[in-house]
Amino acid sequence: MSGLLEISGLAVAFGRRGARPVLDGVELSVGEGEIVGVIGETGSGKTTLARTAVGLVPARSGRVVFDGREISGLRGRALRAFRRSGRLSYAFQDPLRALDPELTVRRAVAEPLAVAGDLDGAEIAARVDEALETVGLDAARLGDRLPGAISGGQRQRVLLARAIVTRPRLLIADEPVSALDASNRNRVLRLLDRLRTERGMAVVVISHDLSSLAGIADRVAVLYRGRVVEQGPVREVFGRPLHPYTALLIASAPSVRAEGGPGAAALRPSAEPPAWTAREGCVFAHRCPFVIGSCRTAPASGPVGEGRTAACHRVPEWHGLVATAQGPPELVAAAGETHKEAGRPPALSRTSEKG
Amino acid sequence: MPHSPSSDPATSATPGVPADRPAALSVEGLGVTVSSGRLTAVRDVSFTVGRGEAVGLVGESGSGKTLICRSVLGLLPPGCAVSEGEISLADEALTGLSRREWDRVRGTRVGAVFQDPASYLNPSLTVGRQLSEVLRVKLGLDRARAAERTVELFAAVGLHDPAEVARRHPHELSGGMLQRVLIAVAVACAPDLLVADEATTALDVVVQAEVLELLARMRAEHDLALLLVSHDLAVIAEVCDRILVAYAGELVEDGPAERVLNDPLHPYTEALLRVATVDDWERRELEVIPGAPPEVGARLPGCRFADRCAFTAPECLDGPVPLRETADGRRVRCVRGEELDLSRAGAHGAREVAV
Repeated sequence: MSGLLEISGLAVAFGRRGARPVLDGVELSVGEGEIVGVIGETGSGKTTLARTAVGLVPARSGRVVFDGREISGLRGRALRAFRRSGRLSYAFQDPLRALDPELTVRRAVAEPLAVAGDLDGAEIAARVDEALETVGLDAARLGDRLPGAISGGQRQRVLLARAIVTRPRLLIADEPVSALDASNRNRVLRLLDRLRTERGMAVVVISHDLSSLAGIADRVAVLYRGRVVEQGPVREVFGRPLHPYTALLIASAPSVRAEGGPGAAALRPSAEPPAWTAREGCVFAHRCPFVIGSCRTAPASGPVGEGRTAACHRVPEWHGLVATAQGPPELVAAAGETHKEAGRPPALSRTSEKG
Repeated sequence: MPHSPSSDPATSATPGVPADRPAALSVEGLGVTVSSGRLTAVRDVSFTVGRGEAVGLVGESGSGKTLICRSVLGLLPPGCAVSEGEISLADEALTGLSRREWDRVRGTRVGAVFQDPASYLNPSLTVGRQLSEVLRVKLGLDRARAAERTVELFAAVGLHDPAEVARRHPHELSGGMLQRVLIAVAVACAPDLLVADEATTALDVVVQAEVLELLARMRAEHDLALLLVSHDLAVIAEVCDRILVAYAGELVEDGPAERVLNDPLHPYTEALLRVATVDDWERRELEVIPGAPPEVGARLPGCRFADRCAFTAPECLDGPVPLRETADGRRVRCVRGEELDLSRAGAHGAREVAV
């Protein structure tokens, strides 16, 4: 199936030639009206992935295809024209810094339409009011204020209004809720969900907060040091992680950890990592308690069961290793079910063969 | 990445210990004014933290939780002042201390860790030098002994290769490592109380879990009392024996963590639990608390939560609501209190919170 956004084999590197790539071999597909979460720690490449997807950062290799058109190859005027069309929009991470302090709310939201240049002033004004209303802001009361004179939650919604005013088909929102308290966080997440339902808009939500993705995403992709180590439906990934890093993330997050699941301590290595992990092999090997010799060959991302992928040589057996140490019922069940679900040994063994 | 501190399940250390131990910190009738005394941001705040007890202070932005903990540390920002009440550490009254006396108390009797560790360290000195300076000034150790003790303390907070870390400058260390350095500084002189103000908020989830484990271990090993300030109920639920809930500058609820989380007495606590994700991520409806907290210093006739509360009755607006003690020793600032069954109202299905 071909989605609205198809990213394949994407690599991005900054600085000198030969520098370690910031993204490597990234595959991500987003369908119409789908909400996909991208999760990972600081420095994992989440923001670079988003910026590459909207054409702000050039790819070193690989393809970014949006709505059937390859945008990773666009340069100069063609790239500018695509970006200004506003069909794929990007909501920046920090609303205080991303909003011009001297532009009123109305003018900030109008800017993308003014840049696109297709509408006259009255039409733009109408669309701005509509966008502000969509995000739940009172245009009459707040429209003429400056970003410094509204609250953090309101600024976040102004940024979203600005991103949706061009009626994009895909919105990439970079940490849209990380600066908000729980109530405002839910308000913004609900808004994203509503835009998807009402307009069929697809959304990529980048976040380091697992619980906020759990609320709305259909699928999640887990990034670690520039690689997608696991991808799949959110319930399955959070409920039964396939990659040891995902399992560590979930065990570390008090809000999404399953009752009786393994503690984070059980998923950290107890011994020093082998020396080679500093230079080669699986990106997670240096922090993985299940590392073995074959991890020295970086595992490719392979399908495991229905709609899921994982890049780990030890997908079939690591759950069992946690279970023997700690006896957590969740993961024992998960390991069993993974085998059953996959149901086809070739799918499971694909990752191991590569090693 | 910091090395994992230890594999022992330090987090399981004794939640729910009876609170009849001597107080490490006691705060009585605290009031804090802001804007040079024009507005009262915190009023009538009374609580104690027992020796070795972990108390969580939770609330939205603007609830006054940071002002409360800054008052305890004698570190209120300019324009803010303690206008009323008494704060004491064990037997020593802190209110009205001179700057010089505060300098003696901070570091030796009470330690502190904040959200942004980098801004509390001198960027041009090695982290080892900064800790050994504290040891020389506060404890009078000589140069060699201070250097030795520095390495011991860095090892104790789980920094991998502590002698090497001691020679690094702050910019060479990750956020999680810097937070460990600050924790080492905070506990260096064996204080009775550690105040952690959003100490893990800026950290990635995996590192956050490690730092929370470290705090729990420090507490268990040194009988350290902990005042943990956070907007994240899941974090507080993870670490604390007792929870204080702040709203609009007042404490509205105080009780054992497990009781507050499963059977809240105040409608605001119940609302916070509904919007937070504490062990129930699979729930998809994203609830919000209607309205917004009152402006700082707003003069309101009765309960400060009344206009957002689903249970407001005429008597709620009659006058200021006192924080009163219930039959089982919990405290709540609500005139309706026990007549409301919030445990059921809040629990859409079973909300079992692991503490």
